[in-house]
Amino acid sequence: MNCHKAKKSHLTYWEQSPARQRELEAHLQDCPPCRHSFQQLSSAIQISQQILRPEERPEDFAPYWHRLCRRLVKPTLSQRFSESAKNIVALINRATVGPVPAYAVAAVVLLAVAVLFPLSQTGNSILSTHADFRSDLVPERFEPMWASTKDGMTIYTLAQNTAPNPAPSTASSTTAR
Amino acid sequence: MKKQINSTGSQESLGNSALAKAKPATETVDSSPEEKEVLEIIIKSQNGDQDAFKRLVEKYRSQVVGVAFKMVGDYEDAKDISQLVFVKTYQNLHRFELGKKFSTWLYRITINASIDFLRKYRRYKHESVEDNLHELRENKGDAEEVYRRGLIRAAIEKSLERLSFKQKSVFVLRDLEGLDIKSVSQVMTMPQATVRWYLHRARSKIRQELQKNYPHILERST
Repeated sequence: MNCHKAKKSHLTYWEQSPARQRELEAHLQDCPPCRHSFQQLSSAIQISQQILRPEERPEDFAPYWHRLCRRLVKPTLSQRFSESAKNIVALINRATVGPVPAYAVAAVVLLAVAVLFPLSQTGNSILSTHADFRSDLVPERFEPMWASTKDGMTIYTLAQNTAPNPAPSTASSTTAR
Repeated sequence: MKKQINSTGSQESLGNSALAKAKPATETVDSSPEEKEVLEIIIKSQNGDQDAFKRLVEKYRSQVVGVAFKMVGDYEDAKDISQLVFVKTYQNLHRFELGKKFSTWLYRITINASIDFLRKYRRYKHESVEDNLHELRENKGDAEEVYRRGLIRAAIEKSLERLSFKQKSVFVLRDLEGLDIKSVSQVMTMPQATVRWYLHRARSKIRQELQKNYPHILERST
């Protein structure tokens, strides 16, 4: 075991398997810096155990119980109902208000997609940008996909609208004005 | 403080206290006579016997107050929390599943109540002057020792403030209360690996904080 591994695993020495503990002990015995680090950890835990112990103050159980007794009331049906209602509201809040950051991220992603892939690339927007396109000159099942200008003429590339068929055939004819 | 590692190199050289923590605690639900007695008391309490509940409170009061104290850092607040815990226990005793360990259930209520308290008041109350005076009277005038303990305690409490609620709960249950990892994971309702991770973070932060701000405490004790 090297120092890097030892420093990571000695923090949970007491939770390791016996084999792993032996491996760690072997390293600690040969490595003074790691040993010092482990000793400090043990000290920190032991001091905490010693210091954070409530001082048992002499106190009779009777006043404690008397005080508690006044609060020991079984909840009424209405209290139980309001408690359940509160739980339901909390559950809904958790689902709606809780993942607000996730909703924000999703909104940003959608916005980015909308900016990067604008609707102007679709066939419908060709009609809006080229208002002079005469749709009455082409059969109904064709719609414009692309437009380019050459020698003062606008050339439209049409695609067959095959709504009932999921696989459309493209660019079958052109028309010029 | 005893040295955990010495130069002889044997396993005993790690020190009893360090190795004692590694002892796996077995989770028995109702095998011991004590557990059977507790089960009887619970069944009586569930049937509305208030005397039985009184015995239950008497039996577990110090455990509840102890955990709450370690979580919030003030004895009076811990007593208030313990009252709240027993009220909740009384009101929800019918929900307790008899096949499970009562102390685990009680630990969970105590930890949750303590976290609620900390969330509400957002502070870890430090020991007051009155508390120190009380301790001074109890120790019959050993002022220097009381002062030294007060300093160490303030240092540890300050380092505990740096922990998140979950890290603190796991540290209190495992390192201060001595529960095994399986019990801690049951109390915290999280996987054992997650408990280990929180424990890892908590221990690392506490040592780091003590090393940084109060190195003399650790050096003196090693």
